[in-house]
Amino acid sequence: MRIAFLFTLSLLFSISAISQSSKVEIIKSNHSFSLLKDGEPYYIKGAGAKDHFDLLESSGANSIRIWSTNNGHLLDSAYNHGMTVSLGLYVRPERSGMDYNDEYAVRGQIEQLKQEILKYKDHPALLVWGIGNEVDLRYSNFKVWDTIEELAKFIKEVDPNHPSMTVIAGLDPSKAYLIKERCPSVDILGLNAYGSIENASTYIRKYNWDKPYIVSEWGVNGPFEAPRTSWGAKVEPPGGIKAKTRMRRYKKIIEKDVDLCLGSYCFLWGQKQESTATWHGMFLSDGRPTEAVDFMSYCWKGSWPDSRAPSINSIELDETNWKKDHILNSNSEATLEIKYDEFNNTEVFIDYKLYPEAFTNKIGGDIQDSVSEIEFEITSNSKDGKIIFKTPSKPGAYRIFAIASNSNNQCSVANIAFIVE
Amino acid sequence: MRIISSTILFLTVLTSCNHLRDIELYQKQVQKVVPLESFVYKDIFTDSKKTKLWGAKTNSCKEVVFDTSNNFEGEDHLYVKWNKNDECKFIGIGFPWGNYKSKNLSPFINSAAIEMMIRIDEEEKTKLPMFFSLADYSGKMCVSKINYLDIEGGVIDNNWTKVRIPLQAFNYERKGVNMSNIKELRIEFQQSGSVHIDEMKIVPHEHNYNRTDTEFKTTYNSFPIHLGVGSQYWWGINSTYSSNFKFAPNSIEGHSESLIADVDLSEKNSWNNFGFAFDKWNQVDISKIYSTSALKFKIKSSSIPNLQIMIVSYKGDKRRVQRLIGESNYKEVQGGVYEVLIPIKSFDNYQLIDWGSLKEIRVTVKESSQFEIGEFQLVEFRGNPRSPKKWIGK
Repeated sequence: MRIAFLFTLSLLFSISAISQSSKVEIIKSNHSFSLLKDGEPYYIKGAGAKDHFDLLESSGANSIRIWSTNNGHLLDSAYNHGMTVSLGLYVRPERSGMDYNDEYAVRGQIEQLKQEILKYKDHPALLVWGIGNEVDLRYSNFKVWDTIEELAKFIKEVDPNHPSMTVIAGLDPSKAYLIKERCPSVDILGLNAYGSIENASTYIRKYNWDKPYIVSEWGVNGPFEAPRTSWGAKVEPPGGIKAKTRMRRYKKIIEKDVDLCLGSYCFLWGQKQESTATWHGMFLSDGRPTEAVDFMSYCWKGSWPDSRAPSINSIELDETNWKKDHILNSNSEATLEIKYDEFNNTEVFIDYKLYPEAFTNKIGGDIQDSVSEIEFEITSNSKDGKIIFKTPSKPGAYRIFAIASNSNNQCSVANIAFIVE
Repeated sequence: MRIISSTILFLTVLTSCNHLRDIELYQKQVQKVVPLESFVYKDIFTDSKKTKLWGAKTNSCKEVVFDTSNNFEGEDHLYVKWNKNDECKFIGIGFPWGNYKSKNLSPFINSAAIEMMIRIDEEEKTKLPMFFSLADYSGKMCVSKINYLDIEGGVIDNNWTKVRIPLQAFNYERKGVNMSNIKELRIEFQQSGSVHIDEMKIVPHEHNYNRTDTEFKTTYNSFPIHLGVGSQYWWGINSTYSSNFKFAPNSIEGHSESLIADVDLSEKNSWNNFGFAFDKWNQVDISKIYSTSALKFKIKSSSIPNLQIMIVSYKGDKRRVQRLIGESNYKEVQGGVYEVLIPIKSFDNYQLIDWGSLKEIRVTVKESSQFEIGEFQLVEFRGNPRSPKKWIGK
């Protein structure tokens, strides 16, 4: 009875919203693909985002990607900002304990997600369905592709207005083959590519993928690709270097593949803990934007914002750069120095924070716990990016952060991992 | 007189027999037993007076209330509101029902479910971020969650909705949980949300779903193994974008596909590599035989090409081993046709990859060259015991 009611409600919603719902199509011409939204070419200038929509819109983005239907209100928010949504259908990955040989779990997941499809299919912000995110990461049961296919097929039946995409963690010939063979209803390959984005456009062709793709997550090289110190801490480049990497990858790689690539979603228009609190996020945990926002604005609009964040290009500890190991004595003095571009700022404020190292075994986008800040003593501060500080008395692995910000609260961050013996 | 006595005795015995029942040596159970009926700990949560609960203390991440309004049954029901943040790694409550007595769920594990009444205050949902676990007395736990298929009506809203979690849905086998010695039921709350819970109990339930044992795995225990069979399992050959590699029409006999390579590395972005699945992109297990094997293939060329061979596995910290082919690996079998043999043990760090989950073989052309390559096999090879990395050429 309740299902019937829900279905009727869904139908009513469909009818009332039909004039607002977009028609999104993929057009093929020879070996080239393009996306049309309501008959107009639509190149995705997107970000993985859950907030800061005002700034996203003013920076020139036109779409957001979300990973599940848990926060349906984000579609409304995006729509109110004139943006579309790549809407994720959360398909449980095997690494989370899902057993694709368990018919009960599989069927339950499919039927539940079908209800989500019916619920959101007519939302005017909907651009593309994202069926699953990185279900291929450390998986062994390829039956997960049957779930993806069943959902893609269902979308074709009930929502011919929106194409479907499945998102994989990096490109691989086995995945390209399996998706092609087992998921013929999937229209687009979503590619989460960090370091591997450098060769993605070549390898997607080498692996015989013959449909379009979206770079569904991209940015700087991920923690999983980063060099490590001798004690296992991941080495994170300063914010300025990361932002320039983003711009190069966008202009030289993503935009260049005009035949197969329908656009991209940079990661992450927000903040999250992934080995550090600043690795992928283009904002700090307190909501301040970093220079990565300015660089993406330049990528999307072709011009820099009037006010630009300062940008840290190097950080050194005891005159040794961020790429090297730093082994310090406890309760001793150490010198931290950053170099940064001021751009059009008359004043730059620099702040420093110390944290214990956040070692983690989590992979992919799995949720990681943050670490708590540690108090420490700065014995000398030159105010222009150089301090002398006292190392912790307790031996262990630490990470010190420098945050340069301007009067508009735009900022840049760099950090160095060190160990106290 | 004796005749009369005998007759009376006979009749007495005969009459007595009417009161005897047939009996078998091993008495069969005549009445069908439903084990759950005799299980005394069916009620997991009724209300705060009748049920023990731990984790009810409100903190910054959760609020637990025994709500007396709009109960489904009993004096009150459970209301939990939670918001996972950095301050709490675990948000949960536990029901050590039956006053911590050991509960034996095994007799009805295939025919019972945990049933509860649930409602939420806002919206309609088809799933909740709640995980249910059964813990045994050794501390092992098996987990399950509310499955859409067992939400009565298919939606959770502000009306009391019956949901069931079949005992079969708990992963007790995988987690090694002793279902005949259960201590408690726990609920872990993730992300954020709120829920009203009432009348949690174990009920009879028919669970009509199976677990299959599908594995995408091929295991080889003998040689030779033909590799590269089926052009659809190759990559790097795509005439739309490059003509460097083409499939050869049976130019080298054998089971494997053959390629014609014409690679000019002086051209920008020239394609210089290709690969193929060990077996239809299944995970291939040669763990029992790899150490006495060699990769064998044929090359037809006017000069020996400079090639790098890489073996890639699906799993493990190290997922690829590679090496350049040296002259010692080549043996000319016919004018311009070479047989190439690369002992597996000659790959650097060969011990470090998982030979039980092999994925593919990749070939990279390191210098401009033209050749034909094919007939890939894995063959038995025991090499030269004095110098196992070198092919002895016999």
